[in-house]
Amino acid sequence: MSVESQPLDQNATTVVAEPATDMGKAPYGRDAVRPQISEPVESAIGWSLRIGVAISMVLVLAGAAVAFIGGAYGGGDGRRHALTSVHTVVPHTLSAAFTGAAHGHGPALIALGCLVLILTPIIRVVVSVLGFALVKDRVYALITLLVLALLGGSLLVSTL
Amino acid sequence: MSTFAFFISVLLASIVAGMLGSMLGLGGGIVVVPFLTLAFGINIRLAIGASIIAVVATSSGAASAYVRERMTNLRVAMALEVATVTGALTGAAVGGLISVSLLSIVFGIVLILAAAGMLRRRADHGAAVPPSRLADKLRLHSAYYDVQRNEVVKYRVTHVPAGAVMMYVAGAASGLLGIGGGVFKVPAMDLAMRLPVKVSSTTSNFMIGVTAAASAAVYFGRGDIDPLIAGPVAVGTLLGARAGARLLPKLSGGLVRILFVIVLVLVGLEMLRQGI
Repeated sequence: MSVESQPLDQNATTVVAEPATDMGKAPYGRDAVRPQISEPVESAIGWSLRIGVAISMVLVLAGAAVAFIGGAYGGGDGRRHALTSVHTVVPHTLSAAFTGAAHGHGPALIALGCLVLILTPIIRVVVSVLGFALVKDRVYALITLLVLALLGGSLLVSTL
Repeated sequence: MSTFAFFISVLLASIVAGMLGSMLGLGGGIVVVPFLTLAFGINIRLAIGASIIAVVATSSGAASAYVRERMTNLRVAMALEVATVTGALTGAAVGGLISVSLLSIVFGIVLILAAAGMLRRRADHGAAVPPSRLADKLRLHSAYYDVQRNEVVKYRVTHVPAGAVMMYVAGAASGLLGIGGGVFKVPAMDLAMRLPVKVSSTTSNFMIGVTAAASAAVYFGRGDIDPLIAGPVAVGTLLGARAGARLLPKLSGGLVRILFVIVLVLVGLEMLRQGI
């Protein structure tokens, strides 16, 4: 399949328009190439990443604020070494992160933010599977489904 | 240094890691791990735990922008994710059976050879590539708009099986040695499949998040992700990745290639040093 440099995507109304003015009518930026899958699917993939990142960022920053203000984090050299050593007890299960975060425990909020971040690419694969299924791209729906299964497998292998 | 000053310095260093990583398709562990271990004496286990968070953050933080700009080759990424994740799975399964120092030497040599190959391949557009039935069938050929050159760059993809084998090795290397895998993924797309260098780096950026996410969950369960270290790393790399994603389209492919070659040589030499 060859890709023409024509503005085939008529739905792309969200693009910044300024650069196009000094270039006449020539399509510019993303408008100059057509989407590989389809605009809605690609945009869903982008948004799944953007939302995951935003939630994670809010949780980590809120957790850090709570931890430093509430006194869970703070102090000088000695305290810092104690908090960043291998012997530091950190939330390392889903339930520890959730219950700690629900009780407003700063480090647990940060841990939950990290978990959301870890989950984001996996959600992105799920969105891709659904997206390819939606546009009836059988081959790629199967490929992405296989990736999802392998991810599950690798989690099993490394946690068993 | 106070705990708060530590938080801020880790955050600032991670911005640099996120920027560099997002532009070159790497995870940023190359910056994060030495910074944490050398500047703050953080235990290597916790440093690697934080760096795996950096990989996921760099990937997710920049990928949405690259996808929006249609620079990422989504089909190449998704087709080859099968190979890298399988590689990571084998790497994790056979880890411990093979000598780490031998592996380091082998991969170190591979990286330096890859650097030489990438340096030789300066012009990455316009050249005809051998036809590939598989690439036709998987509809991998594509185009992107190069802001710096102000033109649409059409490219055809070739040698898909060779690329898939290299991607498998990339996945295995990250499973075995805990390194990001971007250093192997970009050469695979550049040398074998003949993608333009900016497409290779953005496509690698898209892919590394998935492989890292699988191992990140394991590190989390082992208690290797300390919120005080991983927190500022996550925020910093996310901010840096966004900045890098804005900068990359404006850079010339040649500059990206040179930067990547320098990083490849440095990482390759470091691996050789560790192996010997």
